[in-house]
Amino acid sequence: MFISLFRTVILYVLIIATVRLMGKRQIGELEPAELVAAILLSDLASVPMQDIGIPLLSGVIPILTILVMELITAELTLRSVRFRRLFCGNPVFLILDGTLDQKAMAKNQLSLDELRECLRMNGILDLSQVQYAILETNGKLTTFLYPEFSPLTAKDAGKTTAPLEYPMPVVSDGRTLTDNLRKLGLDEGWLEKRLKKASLERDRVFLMTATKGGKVEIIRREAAT
Amino acid sequence: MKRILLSLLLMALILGLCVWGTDRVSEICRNVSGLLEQAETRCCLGDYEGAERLTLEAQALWAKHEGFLGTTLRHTESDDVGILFPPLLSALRQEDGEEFELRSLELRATLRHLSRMEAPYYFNVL
Repeated sequence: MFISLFRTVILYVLIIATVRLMGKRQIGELEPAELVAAILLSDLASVPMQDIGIPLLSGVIPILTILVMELITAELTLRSVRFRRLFCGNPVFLILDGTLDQKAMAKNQLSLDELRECLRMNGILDLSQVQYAILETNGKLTTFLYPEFSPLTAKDAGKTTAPLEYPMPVVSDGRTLTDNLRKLGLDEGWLEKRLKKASLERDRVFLMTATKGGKVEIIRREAAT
Repeated sequence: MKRILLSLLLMALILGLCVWGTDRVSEICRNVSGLLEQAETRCCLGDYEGAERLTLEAQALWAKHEGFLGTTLRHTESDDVGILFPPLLSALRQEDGEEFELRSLELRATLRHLSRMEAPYYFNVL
């Protein structure tokens, strides 16, 4: 049982490291090659975890090999359009200028019910409102409505708005995030002043965010029950 | 480009490790098998003491590399070899030449199988 335990720890760390090295896209939407790698990794790790008669290297070597293949594939897809098309495929217009491409749907084995389901999940009930519907290489459907059916923007209404400012966390769970403070051009002194103004000790702060424009939001830590 | 080069380097390291591992297993199996062959010759000549000494040497050589073999071979496979030594020694102590030869052939066949098991032959890959 100890052996299973140690192997699980080793393989867990190895899988985490492998997925991190493969990049953030592994966690989000997956290209076909990435999906294959993700499935293979989990299977490869589970076998030596459970069967202690198999050497650990029997799991480690395939995992490292997949990592190498993934890194090479990722780099090649980045550098070569042809390779990217081969490995990831092409995005396909299912609806182009309002016209449904039935041949493209058949080619991608997408039924009308599935298309309507995807549209509903995008908040669209009426097909005639869709100007473009694109089936992406990761299998997701992105849709663009005709402008008259799209939500009004500030620009459409002739209004000007303040630029969006990203609220950067400066205190997280009682800890000061010095790097973020520096990025905002702030320092510990400013932080102390703000906390004093809010009558709060640093360790009572769950989250504190600040923007370049000076907007500060503080969420207090709840008392332990 | 750097990532591709690093990946290729890592792949080369993995390949190198696999080649070295397979080679090492073959070498160990060959050495143990060689000692057993010599023991068989001794046994045929009626020198049971000499045969026993060589068999014990083969057993010790196998035990010495058990750690490494455990990381590269299935444990059942490497354990099978260890299990085959006591009957060999028992046959020698009883001065049963035929039994010894039979058991020795069995053990040498197992060692030959082990060394071929990890080699990149097409029948292994497929």
